[in-house]
Amino acid sequence: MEEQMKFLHDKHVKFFQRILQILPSRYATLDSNRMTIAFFALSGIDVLDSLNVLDKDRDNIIEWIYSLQVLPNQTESNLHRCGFRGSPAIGSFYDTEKAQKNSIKYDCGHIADTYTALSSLVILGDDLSKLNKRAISAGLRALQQKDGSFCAVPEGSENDMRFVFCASCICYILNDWSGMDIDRAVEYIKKSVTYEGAIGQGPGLEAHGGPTFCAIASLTLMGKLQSTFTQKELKRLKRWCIFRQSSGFNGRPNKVVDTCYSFWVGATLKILEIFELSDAEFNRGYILETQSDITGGFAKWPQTSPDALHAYFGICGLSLLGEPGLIKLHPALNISQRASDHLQYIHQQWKQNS
Amino acid sequence: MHGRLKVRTTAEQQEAKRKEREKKQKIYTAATQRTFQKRENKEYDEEALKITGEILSVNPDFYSLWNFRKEIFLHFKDVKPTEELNKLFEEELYFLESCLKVNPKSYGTWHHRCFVMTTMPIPDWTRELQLCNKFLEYDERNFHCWDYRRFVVKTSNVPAKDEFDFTTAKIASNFSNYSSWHYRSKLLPQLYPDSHHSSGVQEDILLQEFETVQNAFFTDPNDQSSWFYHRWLLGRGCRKLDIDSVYISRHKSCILVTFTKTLLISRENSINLVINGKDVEGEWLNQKQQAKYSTFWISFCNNFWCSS
Repeated sequence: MEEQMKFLHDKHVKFFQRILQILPSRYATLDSNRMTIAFFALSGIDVLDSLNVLDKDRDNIIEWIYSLQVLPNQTESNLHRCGFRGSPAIGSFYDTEKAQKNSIKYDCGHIADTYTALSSLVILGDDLSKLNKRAISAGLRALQQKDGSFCAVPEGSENDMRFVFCASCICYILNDWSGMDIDRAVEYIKKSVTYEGAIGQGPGLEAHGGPTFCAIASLTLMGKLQSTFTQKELKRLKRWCIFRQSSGFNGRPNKVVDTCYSFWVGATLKILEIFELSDAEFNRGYILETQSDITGGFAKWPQTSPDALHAYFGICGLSLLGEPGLIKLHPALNISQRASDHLQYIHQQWKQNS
Repeated sequence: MHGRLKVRTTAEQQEAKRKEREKKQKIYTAATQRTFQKRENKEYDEEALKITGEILSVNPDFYSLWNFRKEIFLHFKDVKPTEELNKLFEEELYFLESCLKVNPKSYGTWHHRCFVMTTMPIPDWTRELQLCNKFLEYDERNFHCWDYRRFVVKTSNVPAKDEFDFTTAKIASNFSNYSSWHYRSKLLPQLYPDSHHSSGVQEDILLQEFETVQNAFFTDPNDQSSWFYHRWLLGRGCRKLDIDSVYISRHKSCILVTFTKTLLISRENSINLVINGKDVEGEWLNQKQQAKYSTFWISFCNNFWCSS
C-alpha cells in the first residue's frame, strides 16, 4: 500500500516522452487530432518540471507545430479557414510554403488544435513570431455562432462550451479579443447555467464538471467572472463544485469518480478560491490509485490502462494539490505558471514593438 | 479508449498483433487517401459512402468525413427521386446506430444524426424517440443521448407532458437519476406556467413535486440529485425586483437604496434618479464601494440640492 502511494515522477516523464514518439493502436481514433495529444505530453512534461528532457527535440517539435498552421493563400480567399490543423491526416505538406502554394480545398484549422498548438508553443518557449495572428483571429471569428458559442471547424460541426474555452484561450494567448464577440459569448455562458447553479454544454443541457470548468475559465480569461454572476450565483456554483468530491471528483451527481475531474473541478475550485475546502488527502489518494506503476501515467479508474488525457489531468490534479516535484498551474489557462509567465513576457515584447 | 482493463500479452501475441496493425494501417491510409481524392473530384456516390463509412466506424472523430457524407447526401437530394432518397437516408440512420452502439458518446455521430433527420424527406420521429429510450436504458446518464432527445422533442413537437411522464417513469425506476431531475426543471415552467406566481410554475404542481422529491430523499438520503432538486424547488419563491427602502442624507449628500434582489447598477443597467422633476446623475456603488452585484447601493451626488 505504502509503495502504491508513492508518486512516480520519473516514470510519468517517460510516459509522456513515449507518447511524443509512438502511440498504441487504441489511439487511432485520434489521428485527426494529434496536436491535442502532443499538448498533453508537452504540458505534462512541463508541469513535471522536466522540459530539459526535450532539449534535443525542442526545435523539431516547434517546427512540426508550425507545419500545422493553415496560412492564407495569395488571394486570402481561405482566411476564414485559418488556424491550426490537428495533423497532416488529409495530406497537407510539411513545408508551410509548399502547403500554401498547393492548398488542399478542404484544409482548415480546428479550434481545439489551434488552442493546443498555441499553448504548446508557449510551453516550449517559442516567441510566437511565426504566427499569422490576423489570420488566426479571422478564422476564429468565422467559427462563432449567433448564440455566442463556437463550432470547431468552418464547414460546420457541433457547437458547445468546450469550444468557447478554446476560443477564449486563443484570444488570451494572442492578446487580441477581436476573434470573439465577448458579450455574446458571456450571454451563451449565462444561458447555460442550470438549476443547480453549475453549467452545461449549452442552454438547457445538464450541468457537468467539464463545461463548468470551460465556462468559468473562459470568464476568468475575459476578466468577466465577477461581473457575470451575482454573489448568490457564485455561492450556488461553489456548492455544486465542492459536492463533486467523494474520494476524487466526479463530473455529475451520482457518477463515479474519474481522475480528470481532479483537474476540471479542482481547477474550477481554485479559480473560485475555495480549493482548500476540498479534502486534499482523499483527492491525492484517488489520483494515485489510478497511477500505473509499470508504464507511468494515470488512468480514469483504478486497475485500468493509462491514457494521455488522464495522465495529463492526473498530473495537473496533483499540481493543484502542491505535490513536490511539480510546478504550479495557471488554472484558467491550463498551462504551468512558468509557461504563463513566459506568455506575459511575450505580450510585453509585443507592446514595446508596436 | 478510456477505462480499458489491463491485459498481459505474450511476445508471440504481440508479434501477431504487430502484423495485424501493419495491415490495418495500410488499409486505413489507402482508404483515407481515396476518400479525399473522391471529395476533390466531387464523386458523390455509394462507393464514397462505403469507404467513409468504414473509416468512421473505427474513427468517429474524423470530422472531415462526416462533412463529406453531408455533401454526398445534399447531392443525392438534388438528383434522386424521393423514395430512393428516403431509403438511402434510412440506411444512413442504421449505419449511425451501429456506430453509436460501439461509441455512444461520439459528438460527431450524434451531430450527423441531427443533420440526417432534418434533411431526409420523410423522417420518422417516433422511431427516434424509441431509439433514445433504448440508449437511455443502456446508460441513463449519457448526456449526448439526452441532448439528442431534446432535439427530437423540439423538432417534432412532442408534447411536454409526454416527456414529463417519461422522466416520472425514469425516476420511479431509479431515484438517483439526476439527468431526469434536470429535465423536469426545464419542463415544469413549460407545462404548468403561472405568470402570477413568482416562480412561473403553478403552486399545486410545485407542492406535488415537493412530495415526489421528499419520497426520493427519504428513500436514499445520501443521494445528491434529489437534494439539488429540492433546493431548486425551494428557490422558486424568488421575490420580484423592487425597492425595499430608500434613505436620503442631506448632510452627506448621498442616497442609499436597498433592493429585494441583488442587482448590478452600471452604465448598461442604469437607474433614473429624479429629484424635484430634474434628472440627477451620479455614480452608484455597493456597500464595499465596488460596482459589483449587491442588494445595497449608494450614490454620492454633489449636485443633489442645487436645484431645490
